[in-house]
Amino acid sequence: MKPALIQALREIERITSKDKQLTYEVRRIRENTVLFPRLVEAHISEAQLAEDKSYR
Amino acid sequence: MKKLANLLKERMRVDGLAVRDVAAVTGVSHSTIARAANNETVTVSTLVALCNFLGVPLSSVLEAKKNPDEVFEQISMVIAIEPELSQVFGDIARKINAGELDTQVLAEIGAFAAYRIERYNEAPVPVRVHAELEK
Repeated sequence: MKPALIQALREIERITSKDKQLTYEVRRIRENTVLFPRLVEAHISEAQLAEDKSYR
Repeated sequence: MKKLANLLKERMRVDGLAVRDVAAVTGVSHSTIARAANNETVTVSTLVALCNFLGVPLSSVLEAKKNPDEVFEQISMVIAIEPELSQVFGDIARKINAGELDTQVLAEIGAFAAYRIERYNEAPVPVRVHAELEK
């Protein structure tokens, strides 16, 4: 076994740990083009949306 | 790591070994052996122990891309998802340029990183996020 290869694999293992998996999952959902507008709709009131439209 | 799982299951079938037999020989827990045979995530230590047991080089189970363009594309993809990995590939590239490693190692590491990144999709979605989406 090549020591440099094993060392690199261990480093990748550390970087892609379980904590990172959860972080990635949250990021992926937030960036999802279908789900993100639903989150926005749930948190921005009609008044704010109307105000936004008036700036256009 | 599908190739590892297949090699392991084939060896157990041919030699008539149970999961606990492989665990006793390798020093890896029987539950971890079962996970490996089921193509689930294993640690690098387990990977090395199983490759030693199977008598195959680590590179043979990493399923590295052969085409340089595909290797580059794979590495670009994993770095885009996990930027911290660029440090690992940078170190390997420096060792290749210094003649300490051959270029094949880059493809092998790229394959392992892609394997780990693919496993991101298996992580459970936190309960809090589920609740927000259902509003």
